[in-house]
Amino acid sequence: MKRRDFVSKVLITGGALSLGIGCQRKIEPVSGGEQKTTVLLSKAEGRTIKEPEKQIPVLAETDVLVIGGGPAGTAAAIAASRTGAETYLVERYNHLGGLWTGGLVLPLLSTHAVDKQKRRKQVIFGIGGEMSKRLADLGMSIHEINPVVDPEAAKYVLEEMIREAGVKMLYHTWGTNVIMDGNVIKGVFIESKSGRMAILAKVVIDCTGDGDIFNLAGDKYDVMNYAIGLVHRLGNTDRVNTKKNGYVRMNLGDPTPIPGVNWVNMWGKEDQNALDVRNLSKLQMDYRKEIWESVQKIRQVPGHEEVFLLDTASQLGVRMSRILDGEYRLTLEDTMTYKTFNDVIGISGAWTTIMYKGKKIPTAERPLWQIPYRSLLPRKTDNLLVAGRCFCFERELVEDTRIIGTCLVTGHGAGAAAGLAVKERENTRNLNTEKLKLILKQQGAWLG
Amino acid sequence: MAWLKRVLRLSNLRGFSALLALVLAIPFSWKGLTGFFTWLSPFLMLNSIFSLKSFVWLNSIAFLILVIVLFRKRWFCHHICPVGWSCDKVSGFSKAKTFTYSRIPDIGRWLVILSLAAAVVGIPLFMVLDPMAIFNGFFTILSGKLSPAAIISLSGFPVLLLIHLFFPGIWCAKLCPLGGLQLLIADLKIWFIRFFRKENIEPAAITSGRRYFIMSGIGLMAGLTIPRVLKLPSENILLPPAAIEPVLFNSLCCRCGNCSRACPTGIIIPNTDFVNVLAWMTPRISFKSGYCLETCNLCSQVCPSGAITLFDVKAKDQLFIGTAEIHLENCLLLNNKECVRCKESCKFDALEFVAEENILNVTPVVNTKKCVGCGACEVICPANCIAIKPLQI
Repeated sequence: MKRRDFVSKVLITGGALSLGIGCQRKIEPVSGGEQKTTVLLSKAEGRTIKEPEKQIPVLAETDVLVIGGGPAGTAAAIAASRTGAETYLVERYNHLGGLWTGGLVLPLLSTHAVDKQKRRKQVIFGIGGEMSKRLADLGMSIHEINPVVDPEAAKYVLEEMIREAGVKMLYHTWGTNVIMDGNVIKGVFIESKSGRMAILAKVVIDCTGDGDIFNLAGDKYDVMNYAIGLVHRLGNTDRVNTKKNGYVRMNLGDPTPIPGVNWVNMWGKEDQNALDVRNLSKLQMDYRKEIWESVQKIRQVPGHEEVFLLDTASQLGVRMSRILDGEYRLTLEDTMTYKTFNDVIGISGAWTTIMYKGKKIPTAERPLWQIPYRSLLPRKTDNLLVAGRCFCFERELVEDTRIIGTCLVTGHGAGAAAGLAVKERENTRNLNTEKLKLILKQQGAWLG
Repeated sequence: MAWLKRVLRLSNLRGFSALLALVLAIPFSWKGLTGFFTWLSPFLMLNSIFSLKSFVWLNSIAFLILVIVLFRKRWFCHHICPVGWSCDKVSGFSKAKTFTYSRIPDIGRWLVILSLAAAVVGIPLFMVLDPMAIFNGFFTILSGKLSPAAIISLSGFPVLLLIHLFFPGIWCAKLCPLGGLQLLIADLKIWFIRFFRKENIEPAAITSGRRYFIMSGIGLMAGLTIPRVLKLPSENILLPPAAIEPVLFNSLCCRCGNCSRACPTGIIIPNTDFVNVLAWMTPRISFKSGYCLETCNLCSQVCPSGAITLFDVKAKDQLFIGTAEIHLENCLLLNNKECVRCKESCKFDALEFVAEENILNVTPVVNTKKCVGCGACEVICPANCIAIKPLQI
């Protein structure tokens, strides 16, 4: 081949190729520079001060210690105490039930779900079911599916059940630090009007909701910022005069078991850090002001003169904060595919429509789902169990895990497991799950 | 082994090819390959490249076939074409076996000239007559619940077979534009040989250049005038992401139904609105069965004509199908219910909750710059108060 031929052929091929590549058709993403956000620290932020060492009195040496008296903590304490273990329950407010009662989030959601035969039925039994039934017997709950309860009745019923179970109750008390021996939790320091004290325990259950205890114990977690609201109740909602001149229908929330009293939910501000007390305090003040003003506005609308603000919730409606990095992370797929676990501790239901694999699954078609014992176990700390909204699950599942019903289920499971661990003198990690399931069944739980 | 040899004989290739085309056309789990045979059609490839002035790498398969056809006359018809194979089989049952069509002109060839000439300057004309598109289009009826009108419109393939019971072989011999293209290539080859080698071969076999000239002229005129004459009626139609502008889209789309069959959520369905006849059976989006997944570009991968431009999954935030419209009357959040399903489902961060006067009245607001109209919120909304609306052009 002549050199000229060769060069011209190379040129032609190259030209054709470059033309070809130039003509290729594809829409590519626009690469945008990622913006960096810098966090400004206030001057005091970086400063620390050393707390002096001191001897702390030991209040008690017990079998099971439950920190947090919300739905999960109450169920856990009752379950543990019923297995025969000596149980202490530490609660920071003056009532049991947490957000269910003090937060005025009155509906006990996800009591029902669809089983494999496509029948929608009740799934939450056990201690949670007992509470729900006792409230219904008192006439203090409305609706059969996802009942709405009266908060004062719930506080009373929960306290009665704690009393009957023989749980030792500590109100107005915070769990402030952990007592560790290597990776094993040995107890918790508490703080109250009596000052700082210690409770030593064989098993500790973290039902703080924010995961304060596993955080202090040094376990890993994710932080999920979510909307924070504040629920309030309106009185005299049955005395609205719809016939009055100039009447306009106002949003007065949803009925509660008490006639004339409605509860009003608030979604609140998005993306809030629930672990920053200054933020919580600011939200609390802002929300109370906004609620007051909103109710005054309602009262000015003709026909609504007698409506009044009954109360704002005594607890801020924190939806999510920490999520444990536990031994098993429950996934949305698990809950949508009837996945069964050998170490199942409870079954929960569904209360909302959800998107799964690009398809809409309405509430009435959503399957029941099992919760494994492993998702309550932290990876690092021994003899610590986590129940309530901060146990280990994937974020897509948050709507189903953060609600009262699921908290009751995980609480019951954790309490029974703690009781069994004490009875068998066994580490929580090596528990015989068959025996655990037996205890749960004896306590009325439904495991499928 | 004799039977194996017999089975593997080249003359049987077309039977296997037809089987393969059938398997690929029926949407199984490997949806990226559905309608792969449309990529083999040089007719679709040339029309697509001529009108879009660009190509995708898969076009090279059809180009390769074009090169083979240059050396082996009607190679595609003899060895690949599933439609030709089925037509021949059906013709075997026909009683009118001695039928000849010598008096009918080569319609297919003229269709090709018209279509390609028009494609160069504007829009291609006869994309819908491509046999691969007809074949694959038929199997779209398996992809989901379609209206009777759509099913009838998609039944080109069985109708073709029916015709062959009465007029055996007529499609392949005279009508098929894909066959016509191959004849054209053969003519071109002879013309080239005559022009460059100055050899005089088969002067009788070639159609006169004047007819080609006239036909190309008509095609060019059609391509230039038709898009200007067409006035699109204002339609309420959502097109798939990365669909090209509507006039060219309607004519470039070969109605093969690949996108409908490939769509994992089944939201791409044939358009059966009577508003615009030219848009008949083009793909459109209906969010009844799901939404446009943020992790999917299958419709653009399988589109042989380029009516849906190939796009990168990461580019989906620039591909606007429509925009979400929220009817607040029924919104659960506004009624203090614990519902943020729309915001959760939005993968493009296009929904914001705004507290206008009071934190108790949080309203979902669509950021129209970010909302691509993927339909996730429309699908999930428990109160059915969100709808995707087409963008106003």
